[in-house]
Amino acid sequence: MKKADIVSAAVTLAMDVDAETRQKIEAFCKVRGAARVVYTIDKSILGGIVIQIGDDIYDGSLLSKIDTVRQSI
Amino acid sequence: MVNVKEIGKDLIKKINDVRPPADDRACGKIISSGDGIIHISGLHGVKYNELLEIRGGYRALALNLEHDSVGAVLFSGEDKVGCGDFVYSTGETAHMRVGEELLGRIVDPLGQPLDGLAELTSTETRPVEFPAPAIMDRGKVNTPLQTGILAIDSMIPIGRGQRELIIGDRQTGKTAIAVDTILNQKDENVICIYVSIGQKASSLAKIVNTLRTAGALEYTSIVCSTADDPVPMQYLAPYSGCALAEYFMYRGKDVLIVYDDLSKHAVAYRTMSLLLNRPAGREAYPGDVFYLHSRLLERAAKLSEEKGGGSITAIPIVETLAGDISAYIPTNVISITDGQIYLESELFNSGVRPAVNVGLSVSRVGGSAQRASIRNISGQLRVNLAQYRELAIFMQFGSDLDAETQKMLSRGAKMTDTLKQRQYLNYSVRDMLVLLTVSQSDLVDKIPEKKIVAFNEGLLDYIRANHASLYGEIDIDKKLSEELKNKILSVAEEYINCSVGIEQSAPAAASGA
Repeated sequence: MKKADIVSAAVTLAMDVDAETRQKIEAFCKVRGAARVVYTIDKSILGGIVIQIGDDIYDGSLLSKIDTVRQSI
Repeated sequence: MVNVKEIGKDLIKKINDVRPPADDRACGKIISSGDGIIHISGLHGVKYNELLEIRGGYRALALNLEHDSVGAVLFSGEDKVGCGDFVYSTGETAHMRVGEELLGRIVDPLGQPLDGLAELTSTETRPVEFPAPAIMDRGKVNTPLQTGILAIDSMIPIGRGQRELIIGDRQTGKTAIAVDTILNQKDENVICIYVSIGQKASSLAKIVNTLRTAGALEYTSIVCSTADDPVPMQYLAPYSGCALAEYFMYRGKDVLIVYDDLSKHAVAYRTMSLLLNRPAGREAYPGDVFYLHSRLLERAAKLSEEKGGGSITAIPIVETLAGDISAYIPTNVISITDGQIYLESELFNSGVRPAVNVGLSVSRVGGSAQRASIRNISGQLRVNLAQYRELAIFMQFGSDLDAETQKMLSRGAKMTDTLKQRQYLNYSVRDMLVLLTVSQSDLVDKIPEKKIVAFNEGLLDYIRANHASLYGEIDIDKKLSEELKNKILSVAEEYINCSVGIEQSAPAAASGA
């Protein structure tokens, strides 16, 4: 679904990252229609990154990977 | 001794095999949850009937696609899922695991084994909802499906690819007929699927035991949702069973599928619909309850030779309340199916078992599939029985009857008795031919009224023991020749004369009358 509205991307990280990585993240979000990026630091995702833009979630967190492993064994 | 290293290796291998889901799946958040229903914000791209995944491994089915939210029903984790949980779309509708290895197994509507036996290795699946075969893909129903029950095979014949409803009150032997039919498919090369929808686990266990003891489980698959299963499981069960049946049908096999029962299925669907806030209609069922059953039963078919010639014969069961067949679900299903077998508790309680009401039962297509021999001999049966019943009602008013009328009444009563049959006692086509020939001849006048059931069973045993060659002479696909008929009658007479039990009781019965 194409989003005409201006959306903000919610990015969750386990720890703060350097400016270069931030730039990469912001570029990624911009391509997908996000006008601005809001960062949150949340240690509970253990590692990796979760990006939410509108209804789409890009879940690259360590927590979800471990969850998948736990469910399949 | 357990080798720790080996376990470690296995674990590492398993972890390596884990394929994480794509990172960019569409995702939504639960905004309300209760009664097994969740509402989700987001998930704009979700399809109708799509399977959803909730963090924690729980699954749901998307059923209400609204402007700003999605309504879904939970398959599991009703008390574990809460507001704010992420819900991922899987991009596919519900699928049922299929394959030869499901024969002899008990599975849930998503294909997970419930019998504690070996894990299923089949990876082949079929969508639970699937379009019915098109008109041109269908062939003519021309092969009989023998139920082994005399009353049904002679007067309400079922063909392979037909949909025949079994309808009646509780405790009238509906399931018994279905189970007997499954048992009778032993050497008929028909695969059977028994779908239990909202049944008691104890009655299901009984059925499984019966099938196992009779060796019928080898060619039978059981798709099971018991009364305590979540409602969506009960809703899905018949469609899953049908998906499994289709797998075999499209491989050219003949399949018999029993839906036990569709009234509970409608109730399950009503529960879901009401909780999803859909408008209620007659008897509080939603507006699409007709489509619920029609799309299921339309999938039963006989395929044309070009398509492999396979078939699905559907035997749905519907339970009525106090014999009311004009209630909503019974009328719906009656109008969808190709005929119905109507069971009555009055008949059942007066000892007529199976309690088939011959007057109200019909088979709209099975006649052309009936064996020529049976069709020829049972043609008069229905008319005779109807005449007898009329006469029997009339007789209640007067006691003085002439000899002719008395003879007719006694013959009618004997005919009715011939149609009585013990559960798990199936007749072969040849058995039926013998019984029908004898019961419609003058010979029955020699048998005392109360002894017919015992006589029939004894006669069949007698023929098997002493005149086995007689069965070899009967060609079930041809009309019985006069010569053969006389032969059968002379054997029956022989049995009457030599059977001590009947001779002894004959005077007693005569003096009693």
